[in-house]
Amino acid sequence: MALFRISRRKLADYYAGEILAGHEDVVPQLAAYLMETNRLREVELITRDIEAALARRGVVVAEVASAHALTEATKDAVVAYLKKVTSAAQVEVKELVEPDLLGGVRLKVPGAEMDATLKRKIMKLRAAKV
Amino acid sequence: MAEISVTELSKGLRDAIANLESGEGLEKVGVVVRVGDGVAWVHGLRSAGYSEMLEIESGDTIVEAFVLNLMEDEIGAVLLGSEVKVAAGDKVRLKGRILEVPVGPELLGRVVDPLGRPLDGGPAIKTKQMGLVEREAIGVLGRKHVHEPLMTGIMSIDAMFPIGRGQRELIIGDRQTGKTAIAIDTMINQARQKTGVINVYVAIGQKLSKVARLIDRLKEEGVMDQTIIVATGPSDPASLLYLAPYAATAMGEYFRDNSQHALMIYDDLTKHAVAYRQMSLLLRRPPGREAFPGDVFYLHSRLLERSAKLSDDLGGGSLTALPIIETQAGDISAYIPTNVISITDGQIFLETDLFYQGIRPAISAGLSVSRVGGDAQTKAVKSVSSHLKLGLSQFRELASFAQFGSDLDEATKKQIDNGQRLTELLKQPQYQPASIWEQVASIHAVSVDAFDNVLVKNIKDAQAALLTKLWTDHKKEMQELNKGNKPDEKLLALIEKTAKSAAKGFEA
Repeated sequence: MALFRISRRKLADYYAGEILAGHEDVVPQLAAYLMETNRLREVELITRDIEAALARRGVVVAEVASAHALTEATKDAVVAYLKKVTSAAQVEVKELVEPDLLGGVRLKVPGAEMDATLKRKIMKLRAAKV
Repeated sequence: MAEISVTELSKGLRDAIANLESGEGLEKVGVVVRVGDGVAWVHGLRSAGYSEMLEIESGDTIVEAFVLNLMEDEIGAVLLGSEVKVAAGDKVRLKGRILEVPVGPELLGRVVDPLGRPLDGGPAIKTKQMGLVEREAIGVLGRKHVHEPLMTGIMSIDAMFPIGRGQRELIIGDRQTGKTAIAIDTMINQARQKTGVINVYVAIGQKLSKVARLIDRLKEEGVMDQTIIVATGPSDPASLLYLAPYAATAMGEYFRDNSQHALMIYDDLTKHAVAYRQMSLLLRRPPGREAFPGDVFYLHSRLLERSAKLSDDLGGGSLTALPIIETQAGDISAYIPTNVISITDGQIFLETDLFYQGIRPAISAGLSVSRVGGDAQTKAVKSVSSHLKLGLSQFRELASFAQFGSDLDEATKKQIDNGQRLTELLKQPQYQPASIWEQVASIHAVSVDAFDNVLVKNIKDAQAALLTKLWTDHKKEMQELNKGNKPDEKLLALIEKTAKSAAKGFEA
């Protein structure tokens, strides 16, 4: 039976609520739903939407990328900064080391980003020259 | 309630702004989900607004786009550059502003694209101001009725369908009937008569060879110094064709808002509607009549509403619009022509039949109209041309059925003879706009039957003889007449007398 297509935004809101409520079987349930409705291509987008929905409810999953590993003090400063700008109660940080960023740091939260890396600065200079 | 001191308030505001700026580090970003045909679909950016600018980072370049579709799960954006470099997964940033173009006198004499980038190989354009591409039209109280003439230099238009500053007069006709020629002559006339009107010519998807020819001609005539050309070719993306008239209007509005007068020529809005249709269909908006989207009327009405005559409080500047529409086989009842006819304050309809009969400009007296220009007509021309339109329309009607029989009464014969003379007189070669005194003298000569005995084929020669004679013998009077005031009886009698003597050499 063809199911009525539910928008990603509604799905994300629902599953974010379920995750925060501590229901454990949400992931297999969502996987089954996507399989059933032939929407496996949207997995990445739905993951992003769920992260964004969680962020709106005060749980931010952030990604911090830098050219070199960050010190504990810098990490704490990053978490404090993210709590301030996103008004989130809980910030979870994923750390990434990407040498091709050359220097600086890139913070990613759902739907927003702060790119203070040398790589981006160089790219902007190059684009401005064109 | 505690009183707030002004110094405290300004300090508080500054602090608040500083706080906002410190939070600026975090920018809204989305990601390109798919891209094709000049349209990118973006996931994320929930706070994007309609028409807001986006920056797509692809590899080491940045491609700009603007938002046109806001949907629940994604947004549709139209790319302003090449889509070749944009790929799914590219990062997209909100710029937080809508599209702006450089505006100001620095643009005069330049050829630019709809984003204000030079196309003429000249130096980069640095203006003091930027103008919003999409801007609300001036309200009712900011306007004044159209009352100053904008002389086109084309006798049949200035005499029968006068255009005023701030008016929107449509030029409509089939391909190759002289639509652009009328627009060019009007631009040339502004320079020759030193009216101070700034010309802004927008080529929407026009062949670039045609635009190049036009630029050469304008340079030759010395018109480029007071002209801005916004050019898009057929190979440009539809988004640029769509933006061209709005961007050019922003450039024209600068002069309007600074108490100057500008003339917009949109060449042509049919191609503009087609470009918008292409974008709308690619954005999957539902098609309507002729596959145009439902808001194609609003597309042109919001553009042409920006042309206005401003009130004295706002400086009294004006923006006149001459949009051009191309019809298919003379069908003015197609979708886009009827839309634009109903938006504008009149139309000049050019007929293929007249064009091939050698009547150029091929203006149809019956189907053309100027709804607001009457008040704006130069008094001098008005005083001699009141009967012209009716006479010419009746003649065309009579002439069509006079072909079938030769038994005509004297009155009809006379009317047909007069009509033929008038038609011949109103023929005008391209790039030769007539000044006010030339128009008044020519029309008056025919009105008072001074050329009644001149063969129809000799009318133009008789007219040339009259004008030469008047200019050599009565230069001072003609210069006075050229100021546009109503001529007195003495002057009219002088013209009549000179016309009769000039006609003598050309009688049968």
